[in-house]
Amino acid sequence: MIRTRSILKVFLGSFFLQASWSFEKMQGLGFAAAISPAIKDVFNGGGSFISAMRRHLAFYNAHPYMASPVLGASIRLEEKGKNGECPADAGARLKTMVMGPYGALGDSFFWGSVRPLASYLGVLSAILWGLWGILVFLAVYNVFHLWMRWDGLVKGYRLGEGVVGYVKSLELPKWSIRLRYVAAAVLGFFFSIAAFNLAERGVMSWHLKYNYAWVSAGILLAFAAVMSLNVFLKRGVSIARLVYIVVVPLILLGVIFR
Amino acid sequence: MTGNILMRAISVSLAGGAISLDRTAAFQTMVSRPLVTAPLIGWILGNPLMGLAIGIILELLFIGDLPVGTHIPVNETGLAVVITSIIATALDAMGGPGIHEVRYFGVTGALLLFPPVLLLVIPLNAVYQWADALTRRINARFFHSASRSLESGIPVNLMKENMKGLVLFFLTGSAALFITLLPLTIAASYIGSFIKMPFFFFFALAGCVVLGVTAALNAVSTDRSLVIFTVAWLSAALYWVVLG
Repeated sequence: MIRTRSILKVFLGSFFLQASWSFEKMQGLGFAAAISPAIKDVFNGGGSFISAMRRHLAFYNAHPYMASPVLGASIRLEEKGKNGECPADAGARLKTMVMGPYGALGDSFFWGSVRPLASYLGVLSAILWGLWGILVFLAVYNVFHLWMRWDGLVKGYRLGEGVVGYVKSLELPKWSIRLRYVAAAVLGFFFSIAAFNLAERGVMSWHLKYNYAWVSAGILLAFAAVMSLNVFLKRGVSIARLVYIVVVPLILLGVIFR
Repeated sequence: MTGNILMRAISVSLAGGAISLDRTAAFQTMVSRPLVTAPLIGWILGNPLMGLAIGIILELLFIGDLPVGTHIPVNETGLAVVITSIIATALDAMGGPGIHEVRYFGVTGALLLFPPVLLLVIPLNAVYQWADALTRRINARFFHSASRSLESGIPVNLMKENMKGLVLFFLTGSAALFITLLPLTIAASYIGSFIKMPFFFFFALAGCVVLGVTAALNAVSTDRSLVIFTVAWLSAALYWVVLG
């Protein structure tokens, strides 16, 4: 029987899944370290514990948050394996089977959707309320993050190999697209505010007679610039290179017209 | 003065090394994103709002570079630490009452230094990536050491072996920050003592913001993102221009 304390240790260990990330074995050591307190409970130490740890100390790579359901399910399968309800290596096999798909799911959902959404909400909040924007960003992001770390682990442990169905039922790809829509809308609002402010200040810096026509022209110019630069990024030009392509001429322009 | 800069570089490098752990080695709570890192470093150097302004632009610029597979993305944490530190040092060297609060055309003076400093530090990313790659190569040794012990039937504290990687990430991260930060901070302190606020960088700053929004839009690209972005932008723009 796994103690609650051991599950908590696995939960904490999941935060260090990538502490010893290597090109060769990736999260292999981190996964084995995270699961070890629960495996110790299953086998009460001794030779079987070492055999079980040998099974788990292997190549592993997935999205760090998506490892939680896998950790939970692997613990359950090790318990079942000990009781002869499934092959002893069922947990290790499940882990190998799902790491690829779960890596892709997590990358797309957390890195590709939740992070931009939290980020744009944080940026928008920061220009409206200053340093509170940081808290908005961290709060929005970590609601999703900590939910997957904890709920994934608990559900994984409860369901065993059934965790595959649980993760599927979350419909992460569908939510990923929806969150991107919301992120795009938040970014649109942010850009409008930023473009208005910059256009207004640009009009003043050029000593032009202040009127809405100039400011509107500035906003439209900024929008046109975003659409044009987007073509470069779509064609695979890196953002670092694009910084030089855009910023150097603008610095020269500023120097000439100062 | 030099001793002060040295202490500043050491403290900022150690703080930056600790924050950088959040990128890969531990937690991944996103405190290593520029939006959080830059204000934190700004706070250490006495001006969190300046850090926030820098963090906003860096956040947008580099949000789309993802750590997928073996790809090591641009170290935006390192860039945030170094850029904030250089700008804070330059502002201090410029001196004068309330230099941190000076605004040109409504934009905080610190941000006007952002475009040239960004151009200067982007190549430093190679140093951070090299340090990161070195750590990831050495980390394999901890795995093999633990594996050998288990193969020989010797119980091994895997948590402890795993944490060696964390310490290594911290040491290499802090060292990479320090060796890049120290010369640039000294240079910023020297140059800052004889330049005036370069307000003519305003257009380059506007370019950075526009480019940041472009990169951010590209990061959430779907079949409808562009339309949604445009509708949201247009609604808010109409509000500002017609009703504002």
